[in-house]
Amino acid sequence: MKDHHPIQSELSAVSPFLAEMPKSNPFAAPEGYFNQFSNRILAKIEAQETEKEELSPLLQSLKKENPYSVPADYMQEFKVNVTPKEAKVIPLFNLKAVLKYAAAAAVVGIIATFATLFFSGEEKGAMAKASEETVISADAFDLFLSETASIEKGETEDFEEESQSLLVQMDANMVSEILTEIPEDEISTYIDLIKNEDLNMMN
Amino acid sequence: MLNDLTDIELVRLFKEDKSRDQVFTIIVKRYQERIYWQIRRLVVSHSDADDVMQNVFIKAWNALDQFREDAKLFTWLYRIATNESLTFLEQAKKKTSLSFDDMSETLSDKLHSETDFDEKKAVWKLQLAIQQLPEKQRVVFNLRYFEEMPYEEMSEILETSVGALKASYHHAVKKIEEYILNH
Repeated sequence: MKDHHPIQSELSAVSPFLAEMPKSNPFAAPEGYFNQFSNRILAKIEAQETEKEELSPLLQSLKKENPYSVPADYMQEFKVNVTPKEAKVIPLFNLKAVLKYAAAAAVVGIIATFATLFFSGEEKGAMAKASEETVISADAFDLFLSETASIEKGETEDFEEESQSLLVQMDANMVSEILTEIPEDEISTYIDLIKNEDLNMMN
Repeated sequence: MLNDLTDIELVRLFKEDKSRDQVFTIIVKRYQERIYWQIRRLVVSHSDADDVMQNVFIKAWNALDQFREDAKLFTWLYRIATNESLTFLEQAKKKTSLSFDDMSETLSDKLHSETDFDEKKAVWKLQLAIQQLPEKQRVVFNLRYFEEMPYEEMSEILETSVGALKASYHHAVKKIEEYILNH
């Protein structure tokens, strides 16, 4: 096993310093260790075997018997035939896949078109309605503006006078007619009620 | 008479279940010292080395029936010893939650507690330097430097390519030289 010189020359080439160092073994084994070791190890092995026997004598006796058999000369003729597997060819352009995606895209397109048409029709109706409302609102707004403008121009007093005269006219012409239609008892009851309410408010 | 038999003949007798104890005793006696020193350089203390030694030979006894006769018995035992030593160090690291640096420190401490330890002596300095190496590099360095094992045989034991082993050994040598020169 020993091939001393090449090993020493290899060491000298890598580290001349280490090659010059003494190779003595600084460790020591206890006296008589090697004389006793074989007996110690056999005693240990015997104890292990006894333990196994005691644990299961049946298993211990069976463990060396091999129930399997191989065909004659199987081991001599055994070969591993490694045949190179043909690589699977994957086409760059797959018509089937393209058609699948095209069909899906067409379906989505059709749905989108119908949806657009349907919702745009509804939207037009809503817009027409809204514009109508806008026209009415504009008229009202114009009226409002003209009235407001007249108020702003100092016509508020005229407006108040006009309202007062309307109320006066109503008092004179209509109230007497209305009162003739109401029975006198009801009028007196109403007057009493008003009086009571006024008294309550004062208290 | 049994002592004169070759490794292959001894293994054959063992497999035939003939005088197993005697055959195994011869195998142990034939290789125990070399196996012991390989383990001792890795785990440092004698008590740890003894624990690993027992595990190695118990495993060898249990697996000798399956041993292929085309392999070398010594290489096979060395492989078990190396794996058992590394497993032992790994378990020690896990038990105490040590990092690689902590483990190197622990091994250096163990060296300091050796009865003949003398830091000024080159042989102990060399041992201290070896403990600073990563585990696999330490194994390669010990096998090449102390056991003077050819790379091809080492390759069988460690299941690593010859090129990788050479590189590992050269790195280890450089690191050890640097350590010794700086301490």
